[in-house]
Amino acid sequence: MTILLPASFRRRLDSCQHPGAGVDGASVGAGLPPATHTAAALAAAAAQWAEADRRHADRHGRLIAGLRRVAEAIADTDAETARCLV
Amino acid sequence: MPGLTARVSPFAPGALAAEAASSEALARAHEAEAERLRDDLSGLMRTGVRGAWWEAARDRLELIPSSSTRMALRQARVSEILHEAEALSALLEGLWRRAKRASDHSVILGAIYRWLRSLGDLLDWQCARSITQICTPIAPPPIDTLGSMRDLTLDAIHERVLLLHPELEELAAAHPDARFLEATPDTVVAAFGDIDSADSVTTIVAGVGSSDRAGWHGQFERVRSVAGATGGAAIAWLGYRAPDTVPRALVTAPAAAGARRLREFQRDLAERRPDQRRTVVGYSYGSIVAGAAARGEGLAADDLVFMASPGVPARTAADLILSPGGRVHAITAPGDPIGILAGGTSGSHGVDPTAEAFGAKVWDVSPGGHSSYWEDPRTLSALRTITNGGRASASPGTT
Repeated sequence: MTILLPASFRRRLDSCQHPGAGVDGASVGAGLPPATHTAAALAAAAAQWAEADRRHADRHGRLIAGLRRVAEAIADTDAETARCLV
Repeated sequence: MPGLTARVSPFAPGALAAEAASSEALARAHEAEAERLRDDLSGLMRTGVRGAWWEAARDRLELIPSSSTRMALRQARVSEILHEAEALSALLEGLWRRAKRASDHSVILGAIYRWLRSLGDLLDWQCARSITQICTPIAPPPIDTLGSMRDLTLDAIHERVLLLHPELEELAAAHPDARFLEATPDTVVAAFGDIDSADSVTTIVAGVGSSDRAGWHGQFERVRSVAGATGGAAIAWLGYRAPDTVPRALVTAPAAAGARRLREFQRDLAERRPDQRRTVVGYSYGSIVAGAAARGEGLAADDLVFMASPGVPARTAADLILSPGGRVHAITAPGDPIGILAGGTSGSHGVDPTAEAFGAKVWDVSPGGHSSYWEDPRTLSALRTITNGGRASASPGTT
């Protein structure tokens, strides 16, 4: 059986926004005396947040890209093959 | 005397509030991001696609907004902590301003400044710890050891212990020169003298009945006299649950548990000031604790003194592991009935450390009873010699 993917799905996938909070958290803690424990803790937290943002963007990007590839393939193949693609 | 422009908080007015605002902005951005992702997902859901492949992908996509929301919640909590810290910082500065207005006596003002400044340092440390606790998946260790507070000044550690254990305030008021280093509901460790600047520090491990709060005043007096005699700092180490009677002292479990804690404490002390000369004095049952601590991994001490010991858990001094070059000493007053319990090489708790075969440096002190050591000039003189590097005969192993 051939599955015809609704065109609306493809359009919707293409419009998915690029992830990322869009706020630079790198300067968090910079306004405090650098020798304080709080400045160090905030800098460490900011580094963790930045890393989490990066992982989040990667993960989201990979999923959307994967969905696009599946959507392209599934448009003219059968259901069994489509299941193998995911 | 601090200058009139001196501040007691490490933070300028408004600095913490500004950081709180930044953290809030991040939280809002991540929450908005989560909302956008949810919109994307619901848009895809409305396209009417069905099938196992889509179900699998959708399950994974649903996790992504959740991670943004979790991050937003953490950032919002950090913002709350920073706001609280800003308020407390302002409170400290307000108290300092009032103190300056109320007193022109430089000694009193200096003491108030030192106290408020230690609270300012404590505020910074606690604020940092709370932020780390929220943002780090692995919880930091409990704050109940000297090592877990290594970044704090002695005064700030003292204030923190008192904040956590207000039941100690009366004891602190009676001994204003004591600096509390550790405490639990039934143990306390307090320093006399500045352990951060003193050339030597002597840790006195107390014996039977030392967990009884009623006796802590007396324990502190003893340790204060040792600090005065040695010219260095001395520590009342009441950091284990000691047996409350002599018959119960035949049980060795408290010594084993105390030995672990004592070993950790001495290690924390050594990390704080590696170049300092460290002496551990195990008094009475405390000598069993100290002896057990020097077995196995060893004890960070240059000198180990068994005082009024009922016997120690080692065959000879060479079985004990101390810092490189460490020495073992023994002091038992003629007439102290503990000598009967110690009983040469087959005492109730092990070997008498004053026995020649044990191999410790034995110091002659004045005749007396089991509690006579702390006022005996010869005992205090021996401790002064030991803590100042006077060497003895035994050559134990090294850590």
